[in-house]
Amino acid sequence: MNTAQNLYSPYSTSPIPDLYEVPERIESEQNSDSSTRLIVNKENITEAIQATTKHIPKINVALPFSKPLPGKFQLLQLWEGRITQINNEDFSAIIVDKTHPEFNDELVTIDIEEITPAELSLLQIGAVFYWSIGYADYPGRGRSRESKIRFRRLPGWTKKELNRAIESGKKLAAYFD
Amino acid sequence: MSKYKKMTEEASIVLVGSFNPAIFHPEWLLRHDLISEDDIDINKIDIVHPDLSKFYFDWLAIEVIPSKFTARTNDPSKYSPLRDLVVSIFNILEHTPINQLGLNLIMNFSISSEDDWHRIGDTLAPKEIWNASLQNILSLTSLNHRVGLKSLSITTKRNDDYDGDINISIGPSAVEKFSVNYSVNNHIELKKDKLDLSSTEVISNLWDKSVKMAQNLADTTLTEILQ
Repeated sequence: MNTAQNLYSPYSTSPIPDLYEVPERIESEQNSDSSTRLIVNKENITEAIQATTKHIPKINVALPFSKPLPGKFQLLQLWEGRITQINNEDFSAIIVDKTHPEFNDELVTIDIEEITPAELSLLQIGAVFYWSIGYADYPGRGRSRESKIRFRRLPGWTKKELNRAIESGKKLAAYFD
Repeated sequence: MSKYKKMTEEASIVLVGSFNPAIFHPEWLLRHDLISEDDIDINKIDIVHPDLSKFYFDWLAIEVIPSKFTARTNDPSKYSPLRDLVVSIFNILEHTPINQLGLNLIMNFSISSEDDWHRIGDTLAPKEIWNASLQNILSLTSLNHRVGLKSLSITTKRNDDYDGDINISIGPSAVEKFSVNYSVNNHIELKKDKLDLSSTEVISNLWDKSVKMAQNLADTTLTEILQ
């Protein structure tokens, strides 16, 4: 379970199983002019690092505990929306019910005031947002019922994704020819 | 009425590979437009160092060591933003070597009575063999020496196109007196999968299903025991 999240157990006296090894030092070769160099190049970097670090004494360092995040949000309803139209004071969007996927998609109009000022720049036709309603219980704030809209933030397409799309397009074009 | 109730839930994405922890800083995320100015207002940096980076936002915690990246949230309304953030980070850092990934959900359930709470432990780990062994070796006879389940882990191979396992752990939770912790680790070996997909493509494909599966697993296990 190398990729499991470590459980927070502050009162446990058991040794922490997930230790990671830190090399004490990286060995290198001595050049004729007394300078040093690592035996690494781009082609064999993995093998070279493994070879050079094989006999280096390691120090085991305990992973820091993952403290629980404070507070909780009890989700009552979640929609994913896509903006279809923007007006002066409101915008229209098609929302998909993520809490009850069996429900039909709906066209809604939402006041622009519902959006936090820091995300107004993301308000564009086609933008995707998550709209949630639930109870927020955070230390010092008590319980409050919150409706939150958060826009999806994704950088542009990667080269690999573009190539995959082009390939897929070519296959479809060949099929319909 | 249900005999158990979910109290808290925490989702995390864990990547195992080779990372440069010093890159991971709230300002770096903001510069790439992966978080909002609102997020940066409530951030707490524990440490950003070449060997360890650890910081929090209101809804998110990020921890990175040279061999492991972890991003987690305890806000179920942010599970999709968590996925988007991790996918975006590693689309930008597309040459980061990643060998394994884990899509995890940790849930804590409050159990309606002490009897039901014991029933979960007794059903999953029958105590006869332990009572017999402990009585023989330690001469424990009284009820004060009741044997209890501390932790149980179950693993099964995946049944989809990805190589890896589904690992489940269950045990008492520290959140409340009669409560249970249920963790699901959806583990994927990236180098061995048959689809030649990048870590970000796998996360995009599996995240929603993985969360739903973990929630269904917990519900099925507890309902089966407590019905």
